[in-house]
Amino acid sequence: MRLGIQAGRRDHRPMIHPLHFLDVNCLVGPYYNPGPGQDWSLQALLAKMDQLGIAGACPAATLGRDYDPLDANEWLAANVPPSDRIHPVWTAATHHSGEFPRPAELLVQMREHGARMSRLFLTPAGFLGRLDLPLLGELFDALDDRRVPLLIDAADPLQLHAADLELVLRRWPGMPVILSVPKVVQNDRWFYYLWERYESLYVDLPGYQALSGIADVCRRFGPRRLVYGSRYPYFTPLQTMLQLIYSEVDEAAKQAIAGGTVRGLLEEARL
Amino acid sequence: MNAIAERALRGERLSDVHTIDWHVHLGKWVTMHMPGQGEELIRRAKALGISKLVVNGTKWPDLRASNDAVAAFAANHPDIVIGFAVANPYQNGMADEVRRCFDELGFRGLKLHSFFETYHSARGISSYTREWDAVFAVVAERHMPVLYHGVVTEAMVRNWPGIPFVAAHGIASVATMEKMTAYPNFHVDTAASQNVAWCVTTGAEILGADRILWGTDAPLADFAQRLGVVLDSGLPEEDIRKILGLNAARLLGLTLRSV
Repeated sequence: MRLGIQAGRRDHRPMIHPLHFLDVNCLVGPYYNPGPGQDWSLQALLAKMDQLGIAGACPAATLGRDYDPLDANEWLAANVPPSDRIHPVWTAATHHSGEFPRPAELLVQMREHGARMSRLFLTPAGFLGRLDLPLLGELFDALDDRRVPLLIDAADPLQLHAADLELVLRRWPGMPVILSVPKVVQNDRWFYYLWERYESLYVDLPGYQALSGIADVCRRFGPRRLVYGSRYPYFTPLQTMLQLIYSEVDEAAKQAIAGGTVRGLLEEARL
Repeated sequence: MNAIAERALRGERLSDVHTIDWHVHLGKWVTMHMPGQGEELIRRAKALGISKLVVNGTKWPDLRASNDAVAAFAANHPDIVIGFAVANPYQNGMADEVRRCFDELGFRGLKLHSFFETYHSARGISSYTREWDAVFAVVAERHMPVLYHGVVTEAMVRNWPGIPFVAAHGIASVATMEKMTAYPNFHVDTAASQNVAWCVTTGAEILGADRILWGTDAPLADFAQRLGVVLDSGLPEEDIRKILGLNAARLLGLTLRSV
């Protein structure tokens, strides 16, 4: 199957910068509280990508966090067709209450709709508030078996503990975990502990904004531990783009963080 | 897209834009690892072409030592570092310390942190009215600006119209900007960790672009990362230049040539 995840497809816009950005962390869809003048549609995302020179994006549906994961995926299937620029991200959830498909069925749905990554929203007021492993074990078994990347969107990083995440990384090493935490001034020292031990942990740039942080992480752990994401449309994608563009790492490392690593993960997913 | 944003996307130095980072810290931050402290701040700022860094001490327990450290840092980098004093009423002689910072250490403003107020505090930090009045008298006499995170009340802004007050991270609070817009000495900076895409445009609509100052919170955050929210605001380039440095230059009494 040709996945269309090639880094070189950039015929949609003039050359602004040499990096092939793939935004791993963005949302589209109905939202009850858009900011002034904001448009949360797929069309608006594509327009922003064109404006800034972003080659690709991995949007999930807002409904997965704010309303219902099943509805989120149905909305995504109807409104966000996969293309060489857009890689829809399926919302993951626990199935035990009967509201959400069992993991095997979920993978079938993902394959049918061209989704190669899943996203787990952890939010106190959401479908799932914590990384409760007993509820998620079967899901993670399935994602691990197919090497499907999982983006964990932790609304409150202090709710997510290194011990919980370490259990996931140790037990399901075939499931790449992309961690997104929105706060940058909270305790981050556990990143380093986990980076030292687990190659399947990735952190997106909105969750890691320390000055000279990209260079420091690349020097200590290599360039595959950080990935470009934006948290669009809350944030402008330009913030983390510039963080990477101005970072003091070589071109290969920048390309890996911009999108190379995530493109590889999407390619490796066996769906 | 404006020309500065295009240049930034190409990774160019922006040394001719006269950028002044209004909100920079010296010292450690206990909850996070910061690889870019101290001399790294200077090196990275110069790499981007930032013209000035307005630096204040963070959580040093001894404020006098903190101010001395900032003064030494500024003395080592007089071309780029502008020092701000830090004071709080829980340590005696606040007004005297601020006067020392202005007169002996060459600082150009005052930074007030709310985090000195803990649950062990005998009183709320804003309630030391007499002490704050003594400090603001020193500040007003020397025409210095005040950058504050908490601490400053609406009454203080109203009672000291000659002092430019800048709410740290203030761009994140629409309600506060709307409430304070009637006070021409009220300003905000952009050093918010969760800068939503629309915050700068909204701030400009409420306060006008003349009352917004670019700040990063470095080294907690990356200089370049915090440029994005201003450069992608959709504001005219003239307003973007004001926010990135010209407004700060005005409050600091700097001429464009000196920036």
